[in-house]
Amino acid sequence: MTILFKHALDLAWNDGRLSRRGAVLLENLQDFLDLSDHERGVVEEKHSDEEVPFLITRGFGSGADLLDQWMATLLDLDEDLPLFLVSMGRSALETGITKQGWMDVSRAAESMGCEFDFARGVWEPEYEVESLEWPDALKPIAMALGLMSEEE
Amino acid sequence: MFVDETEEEDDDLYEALEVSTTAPAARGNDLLDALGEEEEEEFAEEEEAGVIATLDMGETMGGESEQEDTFFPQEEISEEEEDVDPFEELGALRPVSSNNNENAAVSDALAAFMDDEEDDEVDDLQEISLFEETKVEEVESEEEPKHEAKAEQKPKADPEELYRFLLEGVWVDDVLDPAEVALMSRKRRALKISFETHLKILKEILHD
Repeated sequence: MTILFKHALDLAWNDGRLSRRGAVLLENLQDFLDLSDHERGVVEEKHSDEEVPFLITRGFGSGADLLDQWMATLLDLDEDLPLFLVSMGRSALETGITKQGWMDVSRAAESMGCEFDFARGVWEPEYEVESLEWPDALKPIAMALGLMSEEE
Repeated sequence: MFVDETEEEDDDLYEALEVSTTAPAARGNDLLDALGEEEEEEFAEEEEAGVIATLDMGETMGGESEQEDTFFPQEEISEEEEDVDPFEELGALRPVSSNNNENAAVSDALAAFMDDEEDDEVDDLQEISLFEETKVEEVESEEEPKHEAKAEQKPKADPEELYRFLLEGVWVDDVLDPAEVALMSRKRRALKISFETHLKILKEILHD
């Protein structure tokens, strides 16, 4: 869950500034992910300390558009989301999934109502899983599972 | 004048100490000459002994025993060749074999203790055999239900606890791999643990 909100913050602050619209979208995402204020506070504080000071100001919060687009794509996945998560879980297991990776993605999948599907992909080897190419909207999930690096 | 007095005194000293006044070189030559004479004498004696030995060999070929021609008396040699009995030498009795218990007890206190222990063991065995084999069977039959009762009393390991223990072990190296997942899947079937229970236990482990 926090990995998704962290990704949302990165998008909202993309040009070095956070617009009002961007802030509203973050509020909406918090509700969508059922994130508590404390959990959000931990993620935002870390982002403010480690990321924001090093950002180069290039605009006036145009990152809100990117955030809006990402959230819309994520919501559009809808019924396909569990299939992607199962596939990603299986791929991650084959390369070796870390405890932190499991915890982060499991929590994110839980917030999107797909925890059971992701768990089946990882923990049920007899469960047949179709190998799928995941969409860009699930990039933070793929990164947390070690399926792709930040550079990619 | 003073020097002459000292020389006279030196001569007196040699005489007093009975030390020869001849030069060491001259004395060495005398010694070498004497040694040469002794060697010649020894060589002559060896030659004589060799001749005598060859003659003796001829006699032994004639049928006489070799032992008779030896220098030492036959009795002495035979005694030396025999094994020396340390018990006889020390004037003590030989340890008696276990068949003779009375003598063993007298001669060797340790052996007596050993024999007592052995006797006790034998006696015990005999007593058991005397009190019939059925008694042993009865004892065994009494013990069996006790063991069964103990086994029943032992609380069986809770499958969930056992599974939790295994699941904790899976995360020890911080990385989950397919082999570990396959193992846990087999364990779930064996322990009849549902996937939902697995997720519950997993959450508990990770959040602790």
